[in-house]
Amino acid sequence: MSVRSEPRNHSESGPIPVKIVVAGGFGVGKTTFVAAISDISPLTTEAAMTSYGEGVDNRGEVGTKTTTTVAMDFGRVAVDDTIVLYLFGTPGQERFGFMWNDLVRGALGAVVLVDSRRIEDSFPALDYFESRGVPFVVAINRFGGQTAHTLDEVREALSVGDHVPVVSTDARGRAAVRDTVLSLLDVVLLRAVARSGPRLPD
Amino acid sequence: MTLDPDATVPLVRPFIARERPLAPVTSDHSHGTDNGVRAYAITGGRSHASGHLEFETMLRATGTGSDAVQALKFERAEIVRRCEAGALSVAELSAALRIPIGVVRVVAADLLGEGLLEAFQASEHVADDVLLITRLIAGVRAL
Repeated sequence: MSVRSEPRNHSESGPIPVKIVVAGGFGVGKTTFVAAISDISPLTTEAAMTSYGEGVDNRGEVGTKTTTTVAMDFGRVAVDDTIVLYLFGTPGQERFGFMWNDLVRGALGAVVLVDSRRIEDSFPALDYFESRGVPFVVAINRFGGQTAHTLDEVREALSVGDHVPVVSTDARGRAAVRDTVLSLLDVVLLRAVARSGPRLPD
Repeated sequence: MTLDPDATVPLVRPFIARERPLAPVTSDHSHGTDNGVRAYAITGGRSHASGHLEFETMLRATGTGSDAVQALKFERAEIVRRCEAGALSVAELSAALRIPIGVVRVVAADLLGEGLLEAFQASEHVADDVLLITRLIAGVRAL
């Protein structure tokens, strides 16, 4: 028995849910970002995440493993009569030892929200998506005002590759959030075309 | 696979000195537990990839499910009832019923196996589906 909806070309066969992940440091505006575009008020769900004693939270006890329950906020957008886009904010605990694989599996890509005054808060998310080969865009939340740094300054500070878009956004604004999602989807599309089409010489 | 070679080059960011990548340890669900409530044993008898319910997997009650709902108990009844009006995702069911997502997955997978629910999920290869992504972009642009 297959859970996957195939064939997916027939709209009468049911909805097609797709997912993107919204990541970033604490207080950077992830839930606000989701709320700006969601058809519903963001919902909160709990998931058990296994956390390994690893990384910056490590108190020297390598290999310890604990299960914690984390809350995550998400929203839903009916994109057309078939496609439903889910946006999942990463859990509030800014620990990257826990199992993100569960959340990210099947995601088209990620938006990494950055507060230009605290860019280092986004490093764990950038490291995670890079190491997993998940397409992402960096979106600097200007919180309705000016950002403290230019996009180029932020790009340099984050050390992201040229293939990663660095954009400015306003997590409170529907149009700004939509455009940020579109910049991610452009990356996703380019990648899909590159992988499905014939290989072209560089 | 023609991934951008840049994507595989590990970049070292300032302020973070680390001995190994921060990426979580990949864990197979066969030895994962959810709050110690029940093990994730939902893929029994099915292939791993096709039997797994994602957070965004949408569920809808079947006719059989609606007929059987009176006889169901607890979360099983709640889940089928919520899915009668229209398809809801695993995450939405978790939020609405205040049940951890892992428990919803387990119970829903059982209901699916019994034919009381049907599930909708994008293809595993959705990231390569140019047509679907193009439709998604057109839809988001029109928001």
